[in-house]
Amino acid sequence: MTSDDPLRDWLQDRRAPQVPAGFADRVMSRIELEERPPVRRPDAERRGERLLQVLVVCVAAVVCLIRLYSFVSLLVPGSGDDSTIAVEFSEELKNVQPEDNRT
Amino acid sequence: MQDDQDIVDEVLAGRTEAFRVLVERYQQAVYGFLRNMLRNVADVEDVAQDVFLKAYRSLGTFDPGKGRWSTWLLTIARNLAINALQARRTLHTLEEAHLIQSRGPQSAAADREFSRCLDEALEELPIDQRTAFVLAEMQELPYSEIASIEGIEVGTVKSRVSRARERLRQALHAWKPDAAASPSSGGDS
Repeated sequence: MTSDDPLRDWLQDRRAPQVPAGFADRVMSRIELEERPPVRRPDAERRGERLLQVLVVCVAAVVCLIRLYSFVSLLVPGSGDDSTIAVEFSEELKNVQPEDNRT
Repeated sequence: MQDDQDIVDEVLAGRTEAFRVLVERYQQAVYGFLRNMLRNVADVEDVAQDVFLKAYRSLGTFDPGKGRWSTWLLTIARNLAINALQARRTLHTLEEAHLIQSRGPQSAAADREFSRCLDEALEELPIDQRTAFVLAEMQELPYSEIASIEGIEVGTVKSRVSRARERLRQALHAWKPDAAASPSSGGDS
């Protein structure tokens, strides 16, 4: 480095750095990777899927409610309108009781 | 040579491979700027790649009415360099071999010492002065373009470069009193 203008020489040194070999290839590889992101499904498709899920949950809830109602109506006799099963059950009970008393 | 804007249009139209032309055209400018800002060779490569990747991602936001594509690209480079500097305050020194280049072994030791002195002085500059100095003196960009990149007035660029130059001269004087006598060339107007 010459000492007559050392700052200029130093600047000259810094003006032409070597770009690493294959730099552009590496950049383009990263860009190509970006080009293939996980395929985003169309909104309509995702909405349809969500609707189906909601429908399944609703159907399951309705089935559960029906079964729960059936079970509760078996145990709790209503005010006059007993279910057929409950009526049959209480009649059977009446038929059985006199025999028990005889013993 | 194909115009930058034409290439940008091609890429936006779906011809991704056309972006390679822009990378090859500006890799020297971006890499050179970042090397002088960051110094750590490994970081420079990573950040330089990030610059082009960010440019690619936000290519649709480039407005040719506001300036040249190269100015827009260097603005991205400047922002990422500042982010990197703020994230990592401890900087590593450059590989010495890179500095020696083709000089003879006798002057190499003195050169290394001298370069290190100026490199350290450059590192110690405030980021705004350093950016302006690197763009003006090392990238040799016109002050008006630096003003666009930095988003400041041309007068502010000039004063930043001037202050940076003065500090480097002081560092040089402290290292070798007789060497700092001759002034450096300035950037253009």
